[in-house]
Amino acid sequence: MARRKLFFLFTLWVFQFLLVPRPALAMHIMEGFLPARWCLFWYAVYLPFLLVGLLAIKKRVLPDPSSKILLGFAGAFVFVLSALKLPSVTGSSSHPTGVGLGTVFFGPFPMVVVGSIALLFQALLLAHGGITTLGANAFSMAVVGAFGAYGVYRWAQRWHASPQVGVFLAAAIGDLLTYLVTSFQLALAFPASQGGVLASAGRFFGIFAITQVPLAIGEGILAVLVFSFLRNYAGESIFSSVGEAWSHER
Amino acid sequence: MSAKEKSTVLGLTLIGVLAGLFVVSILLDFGLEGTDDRASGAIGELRPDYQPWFQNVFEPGEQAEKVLFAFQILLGVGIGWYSLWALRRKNRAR
Repeated sequence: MARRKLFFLFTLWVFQFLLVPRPALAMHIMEGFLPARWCLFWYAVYLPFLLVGLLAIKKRVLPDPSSKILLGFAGAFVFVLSALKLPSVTGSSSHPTGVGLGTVFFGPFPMVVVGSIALLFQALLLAHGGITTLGANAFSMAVVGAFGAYGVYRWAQRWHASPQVGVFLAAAIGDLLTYLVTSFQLALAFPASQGGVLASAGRFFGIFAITQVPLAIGEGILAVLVFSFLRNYAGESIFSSVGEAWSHER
Repeated sequence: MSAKEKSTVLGLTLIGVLAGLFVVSILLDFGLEGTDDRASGAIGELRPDYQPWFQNVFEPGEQAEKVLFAFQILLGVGIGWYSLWALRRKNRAR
């Protein structure tokens, strides 16, 4: 009986948290904050990438058990990093993205899917971002973040940089690009009456990009730490069957 | 330093860093505004007549949000931990 009462009280305690309204503190464009036509536009741009990403996972990742495990690890990294709300120099807080590390293993397309899952989770359970703005948010984080990180990693390899330098640059710049694109998306939807899209973009860059710089550097350092750990822990043979990025590096 | 020692040092550093980030992110409250809040403030100034046309279906309370963020982090750590275990097992089987 006492146990039931305790369970009832615990349930009430949990529910009171769920019922207290709170100001929205999200890292992405919030639900309803993009006009409908822009929501449709960004969905239309993003969905082909998601489709190719799903096919890439089916063709390149699922047939190989090691790749599946490594993709799970890359997904775990995205989940952890995108849930960290960290203070920054501008007196506001934001989140890292975690997408860059996985692109080093798999290339950009599988990470489009992984990033999208994290965004969907946050939109549905945390009211961070939203379903209407998912296309825009996924495009900035999962598409541009992943492709930007991949491009930077390949560029670093071309300059014969060490894998660690490549991973740092990929993770940090992929993170920064995400928020630059978010600023641009908002500027397109809400151009300033004087100066238009560019003036508005400058304003949103000031909000997102400067806050994100220290966080992006932190994400780069953390990605290098995880990469080095994984390399030591699991051995380089684990990378032999995965993405083309790694094989180019070698 | 042997590979095993290096792996241990890196692993412990990683655990320390993640624990520190968890404390800063979830347990401490700096009372800072999110960048998105600043962005929505800017939208309000750029387009004062704009009203969000859709609301989140589910909006957790402030404490529930922290609990859910902590859950997301722990879920990620759990999946990461399992992946490492599975990788090591696979390596040993080779």
